Amino acid sequence: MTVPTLLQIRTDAALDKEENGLPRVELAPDFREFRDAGSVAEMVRRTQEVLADPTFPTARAWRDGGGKAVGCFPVYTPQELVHALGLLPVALQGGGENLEISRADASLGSFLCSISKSTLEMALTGLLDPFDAFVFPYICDVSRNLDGIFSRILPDRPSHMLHLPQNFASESTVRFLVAEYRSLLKKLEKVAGRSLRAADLAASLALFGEQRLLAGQLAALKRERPWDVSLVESYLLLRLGGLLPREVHVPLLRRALDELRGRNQKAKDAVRVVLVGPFCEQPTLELLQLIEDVGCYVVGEELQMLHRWYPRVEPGGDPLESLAAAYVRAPVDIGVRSTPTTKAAAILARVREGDAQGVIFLTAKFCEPALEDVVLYRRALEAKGIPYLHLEFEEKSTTYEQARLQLETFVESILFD
Amino acid sequence: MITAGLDLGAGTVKGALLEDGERILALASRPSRGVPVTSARAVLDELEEGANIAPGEVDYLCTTGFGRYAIPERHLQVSDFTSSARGARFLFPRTRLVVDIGSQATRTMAVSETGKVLKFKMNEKCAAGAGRFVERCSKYLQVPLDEMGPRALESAHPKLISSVCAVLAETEIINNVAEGVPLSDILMGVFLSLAQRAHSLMRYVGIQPEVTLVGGLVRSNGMVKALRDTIGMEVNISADSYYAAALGAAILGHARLRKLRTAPGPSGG
Repeated sequence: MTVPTLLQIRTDAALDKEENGLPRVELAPDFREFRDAGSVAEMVRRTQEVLADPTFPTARAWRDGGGKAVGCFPVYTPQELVHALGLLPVALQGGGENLEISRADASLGSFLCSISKSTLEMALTGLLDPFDAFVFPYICDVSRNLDGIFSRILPDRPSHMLHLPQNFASESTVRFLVAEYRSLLKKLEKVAGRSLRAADLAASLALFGEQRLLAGQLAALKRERPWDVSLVESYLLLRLGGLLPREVHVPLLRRALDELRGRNQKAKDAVRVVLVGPFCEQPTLELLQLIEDVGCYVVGEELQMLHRWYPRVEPGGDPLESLAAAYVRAPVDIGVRSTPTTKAAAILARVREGDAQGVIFLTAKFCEPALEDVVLYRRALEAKGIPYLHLEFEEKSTTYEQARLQLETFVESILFD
Repeated sequence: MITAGLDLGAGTVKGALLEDGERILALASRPSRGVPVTSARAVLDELEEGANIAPGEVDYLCTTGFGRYAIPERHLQVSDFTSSARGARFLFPRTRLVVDIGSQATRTMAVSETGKVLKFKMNEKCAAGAGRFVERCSKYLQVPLDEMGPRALESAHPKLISSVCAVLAETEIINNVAEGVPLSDILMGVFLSLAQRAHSLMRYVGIQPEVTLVGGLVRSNGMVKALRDTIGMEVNISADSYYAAALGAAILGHARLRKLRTAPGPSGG
């Protein structure tokens, strides 16, 4: 049988395997490969190479340059605090398709999400050696328990469970979060070997503000002209932002936006959809590409929320308090923020904002926060007659025929009267 | 306008030839035998011969089924859900729920008055939830496939299968044979287990009359009875239900061709 093949999204470098069977990418400590990347195509290709290598090439290169790195589990970590101490915050977003899970399966139940297993597998097999500390935001029971497991299996490297507030109405919420940030800082300062300086934090807030501004512009471009930016491109450009030093990523993203804004591609007869659910574990590139290949334009999504949680941190006053306030007041309504009374309005607002014709729930298998919200969202969509489709994914997906069939049916049900 | 619909299924290739999207000119089918492209081309030849038209007279070819991309000369391909829904609505205009039990999968669709898919659900990757399970039962119970339905109808006390996995279900059936359970009761148990799985999918999309059964198992009267008994409702079937997906593909092909002829030009880049 001949089926249309996906674009070649694996690269030669990704297939250049070492003895242990894993692809290996070596980067210069000054990241010149990304500083010099002149086109979006090159940036995307290099990002794919980095993602295919589960040994964290950017963190290794940073260490080669004498730095220390902190692994940050999804969804949100105040990266500004990590950066202000001279540490590199690196997003831990699973092991990808090349990582074989063997040891973690012996410790974790089969009913847990892929990212918990791949993260543990990487810790047990030394793939997280480039990291000096870890942050696990308490987004679900799985992330909480990973923090406990890491504390036991990697006792010489601090692991911190970050409590993020769920009560956004209380006057004490910002104060609570500031206290949590101070608790995190205590551990990070030990790793960095110095205390946090106000001027450093101010500079970090400005740098990350710039990164979020550009990330927001990319999302807006994708929403307004989805034919000029593919989902895979926008996803990879932002995914890179959690791996590279931000001083390298910000100018790269600016160059990418310049090129993307200059595109003028022909729009397809495609269905505009909002993608809901993949805020923690990330779908494979093949699945993301498939969604647009079958005739969808993704005009809103929850991928890489790390860079889009709040638009900017208001300057002035206590910077730690400003950072906490930005998180608390952010208009984010995804599965890891408990706002059950506003879920219906939120999904409808996102559909309106993207002028979307439907919603695709793309949830990681066994992801409780995402699956709980699907129930609330579905009711709201059904009441308004907005079509939706629910697909589940895992990190190591190999066949996409069932997903293709369901996606095609979804598109056809909207296209044909 | 003459449009052809080809349903390249896992077990069989079915074809339909329509005039003006309404009148059936010919229907044909052949086993896929692992080479659905060859079978599809033979079915197309048979359709043209049956309708007494020359090869070039088919204006539009629309494919569906798991091998829908396999025919390079197609004009359009549509998913099995979309085509089965249109075909079921064509055969029974008051259809609101379609159940498609094929060789590889069971699918359910809630449809609008026009046959547009409103909500759909298919079974997970599971051999016990599709027609292939019946084929396997046919082999190890040594009852020819086309005799399974009539034999099942003789059942007085169907022996339900509790296992949700095809391999374990087979073991359960073998145990039933060893315990001397009448063959007809075992066979009806096989159909009822499939019907119960289909019922779960039907509940997801919403059960409302009229219900129309399509797909390979529509030819088994045992399956039809099992489904009717399980859902407690009448289930539409006709002699052409077997070809519903191919008919739906031909209907959608006609709709697309009419649109293209009234508003020529590409619809997008």
